[in-house]
Amino acid sequence: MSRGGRLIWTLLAAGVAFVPGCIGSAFLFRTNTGPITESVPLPHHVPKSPNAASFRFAMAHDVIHERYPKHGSVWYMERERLAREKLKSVPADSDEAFGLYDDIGTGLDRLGKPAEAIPLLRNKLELQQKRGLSGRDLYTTYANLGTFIVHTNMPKAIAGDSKGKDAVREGIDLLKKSVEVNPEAHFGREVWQIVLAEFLLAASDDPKLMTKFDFVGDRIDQPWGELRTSEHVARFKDRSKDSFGRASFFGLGYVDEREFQRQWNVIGGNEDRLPEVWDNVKGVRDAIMIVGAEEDWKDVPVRSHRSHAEFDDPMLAIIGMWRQGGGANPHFCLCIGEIMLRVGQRRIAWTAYERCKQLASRYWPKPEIQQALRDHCDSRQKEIEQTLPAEEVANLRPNFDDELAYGQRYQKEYQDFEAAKIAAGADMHDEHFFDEFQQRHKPIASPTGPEEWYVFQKPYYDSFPAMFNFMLSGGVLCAGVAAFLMSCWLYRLTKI
Amino acid sequence: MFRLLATFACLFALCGVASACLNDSELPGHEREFRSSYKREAPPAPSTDSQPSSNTPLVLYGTGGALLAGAGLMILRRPSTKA
Repeated sequence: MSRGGRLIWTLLAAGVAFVPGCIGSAFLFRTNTGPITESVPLPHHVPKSPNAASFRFAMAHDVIHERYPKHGSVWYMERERLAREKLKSVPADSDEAFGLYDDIGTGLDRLGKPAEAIPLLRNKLELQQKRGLSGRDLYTTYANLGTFIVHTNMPKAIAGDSKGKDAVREGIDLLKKSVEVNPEAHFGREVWQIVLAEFLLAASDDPKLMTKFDFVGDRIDQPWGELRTSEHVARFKDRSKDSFGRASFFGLGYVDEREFQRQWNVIGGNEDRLPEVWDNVKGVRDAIMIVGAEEDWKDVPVRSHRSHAEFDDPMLAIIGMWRQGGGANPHFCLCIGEIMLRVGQRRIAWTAYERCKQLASRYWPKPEIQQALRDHCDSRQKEIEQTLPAEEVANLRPNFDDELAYGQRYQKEYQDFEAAKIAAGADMHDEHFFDEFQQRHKPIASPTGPEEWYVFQKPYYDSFPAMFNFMLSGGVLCAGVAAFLMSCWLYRLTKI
Repeated sequence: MFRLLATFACLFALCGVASACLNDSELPGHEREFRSSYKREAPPAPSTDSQPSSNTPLVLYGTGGALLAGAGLMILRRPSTKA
């Protein structure tokens, strides 16, 4: 046979084998390929403003278990002593003196003496106004003075004293001024501090509120199972009821998680570069689960908080107030529990309720309200436990106790360390003051993990290019095998 | 007695509300430290266990191509003959 003839027969064999090769490999690809998944940070990784901090679930876990460094009373007393000494040598209306007034005032508040800080800050405000300062320059004065006034007078207001209530209102007004002059300060803490003060003021007139809502307006008088399905989730009418109990609305068609992923990849997953793509990602916050201001909240006279909020907003404020304010507090624990439950973080919620029960005696003066809080926490914990494996449930309480003890031990060692250094005459303002402590201790903050990521399945058409490539290569292989076999056969047939 | 109870009640309440935004010279440093404590970790790898290796098509192309070349060689090696 001629070379041409053999070539034709070989090409024919290759062509015939190519088609079933393609079909077969396409079939193999489809049967052997599972769903392809991708992951993207949950939408709360986009902060409220480009350079603000964003929330992590580990932050909530850490405040509940006291896993953060916290100064002791010795630190604040020493700082006050040094500040008062320094004040003698600087003009009373200088910027340096204004900073020292804040340090002394916050120290007094931390030491449980907010009333002593009020005249100091009133004096500071007067001096600032005499100097013609206004707007943002008065921010810390408004915020601190408002806080000290609220702290001093809230107990009287809760006891029903009308002067106490008036004073709390004055404190709230000052806090509102601080928000006006600096709306994005410190995770929006002032906003939620105002909400808490207004809520407690409202509860002083109607204590039943304390058994119906947490301070952001999450209902606490309904079982979780009922809450999920009850009519009041109708506030999600433009979204899906299925989203209740999740941290985001990703995957429901309201915000495109794939577009967010593209933007995230543009900045290499570096949150510090978010401002570069801010206009493209700010809308992602619409996918954050909303909490608070639930059914009947409209009747509660908390004017600063009328509708639901993205859950990370009050959470960051609570964490900021906890860490930089007065520490553990049953109102915060309850609110963390309710919010974490609503975003599907059942384990964090369980620990928040556990801590809340420990602090219940500080919730409200009336014992029956304290008991109602304990009962509520018990009931929520039981509901959570029903959704967890039995062996995990058995370990929840021992794990909580161990971890809280770990955090408290860390804080005690931190405070003992600073007290010893101060006693030894070390300069507390030295930036290396804590170096030795940090060398001896591992970082206390919990690592973040997969709970921060939304994992989604890529659409099936995303695998088309890969499938086509695989199909073609299978076809080429079959064509090659058939051509080679045909050419071998013809080689043998063709005698020289 | 009532006064005593009221005092205790106030003390309890004071503890309950002692929480807020205090602004002092340490705050900016604390906030920086706080943010850096929670640096993001790498995302979990996409679950591609059941996907064919990205090298598989290359191997198939290579093998198929080599066989085609071999077939061509076989054709070229034996000259045409008359039937």
